[in-house]
Amino acid sequence: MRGSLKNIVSDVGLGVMFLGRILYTAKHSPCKRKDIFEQTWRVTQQGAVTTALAGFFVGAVMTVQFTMQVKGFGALGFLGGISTSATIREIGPLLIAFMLSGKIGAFTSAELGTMRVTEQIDAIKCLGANPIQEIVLPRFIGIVISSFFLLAIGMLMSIVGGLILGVLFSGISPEEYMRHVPTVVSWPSISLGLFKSFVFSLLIASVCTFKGYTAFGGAKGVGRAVINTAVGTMVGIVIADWLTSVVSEAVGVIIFY
Amino acid sequence: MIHLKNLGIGFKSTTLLSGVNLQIKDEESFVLLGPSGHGKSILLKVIAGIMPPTEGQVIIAGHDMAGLTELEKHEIMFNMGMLFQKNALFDSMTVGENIAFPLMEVRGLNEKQADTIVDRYLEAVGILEAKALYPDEISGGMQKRLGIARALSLTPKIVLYDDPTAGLDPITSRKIITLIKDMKSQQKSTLVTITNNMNRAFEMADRLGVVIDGELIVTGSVEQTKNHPDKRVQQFINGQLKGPLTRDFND
Repeated sequence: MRGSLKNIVSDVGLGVMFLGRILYTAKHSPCKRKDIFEQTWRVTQQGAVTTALAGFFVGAVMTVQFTMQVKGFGALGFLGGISTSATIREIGPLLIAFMLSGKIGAFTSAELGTMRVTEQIDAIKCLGANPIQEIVLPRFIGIVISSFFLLAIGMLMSIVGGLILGVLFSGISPEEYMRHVPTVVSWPSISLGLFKSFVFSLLIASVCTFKGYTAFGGAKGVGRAVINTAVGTMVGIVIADWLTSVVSEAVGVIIFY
Repeated sequence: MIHLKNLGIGFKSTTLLSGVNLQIKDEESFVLLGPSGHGKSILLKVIAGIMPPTEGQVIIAGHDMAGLTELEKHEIMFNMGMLFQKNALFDSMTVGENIAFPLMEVRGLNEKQADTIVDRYLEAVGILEAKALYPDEISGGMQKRLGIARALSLTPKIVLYDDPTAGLDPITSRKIITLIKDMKSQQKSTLVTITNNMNRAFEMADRLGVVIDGELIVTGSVEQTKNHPDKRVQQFINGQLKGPLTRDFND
């Protein structure tokens, strides 16, 4: 127990130092825009369909759940607004983060890990290039930027999913469902969703690049890096979700309706 | 010139290399021999700047690598090329892109300029026809040639070869060694080569050294090596089953 706690603390410390190296490189020797664009496009493309699907069903589930609540108060007209607001503020960013973690995080970790164990990273160093600048930084920035695109796709689909289920399940018209969305979904809600999404994507990008870059021990080592990425990001996201909620509440960003 | 001063490397309680002292002159071809797992590749990686030593100094062209900033280290590494034992080719890039990568990213050449150099090197190593293929689509010998072309494309002053003939048939192996020697005379570079093929080692070495249990024994010229008094060296170069290197076998 004590040993594993020590390992976790040491791992977090090394991860933070690695993040420092990435940020230092970003400031002093930034990567090419073309590489960032390529990575952003790749991540968005890889995550778009699953995010859209998940977004659709989360929106649908939220609508079904909220229907029970608002019907009791005779406030069915607020269903669309409440459902969308909850999705944008909380469920959406969390969902996108889990999607990114499972798909892009694991992929990036495996890709960098394979490059490490096949000595491709050493080869980059030997050629006088900086591996952080060449292969880590574009992936890191790509994950962060694409998380916003994926968030937008997920949000849009969750509204569509909620709307369809609202019409089919709750017997509300599309106009009625959408009527209170602009009033309930406030800028603070959207800001909080964006802020959470940004924090989660930073966390995923840091963990997966760190675990992949420091992989060792052949195929088994790459497998270990992928598992550690999945576990690390999942636990990290839940903790970060709690922290961002507390911090946001403390600075008064959230406005309750 | 490469100068290793009392070099050592170890992790926790394991010592991988200790007390390594070596000077390699400009344009010299130095060959490292030794049983597998005794530290040859680690020594090469320390020279290449991939692994930092835990003790001693690595001095390349008069610069102590430990005292340099990352940027200064990169400057030194511009002048070094390395062929890895398993080639370490970029598997997501084509053969041509593998060579173009350092030219464009490190030298800052544009695509057209890089392409001219890519063609020249691929032609020199005899795999121009494979330019558009991916590394896993070409044979082991061709991958080795590509690794050599990539290592030499920046015209380095020092070239490190980690077992360039490993896993190759005798004819391809001879071709690779001839290619390395030709490229050396063209580029007037310093070579450090690991090989366990005695014929090839004697063919290309000005001087040799044997790494045994993390210790480097500089044995000298080919003749001096063949007549070296150390019994471990004699057992290794003659491939004898019985001797100090195989105590378990003797028992």
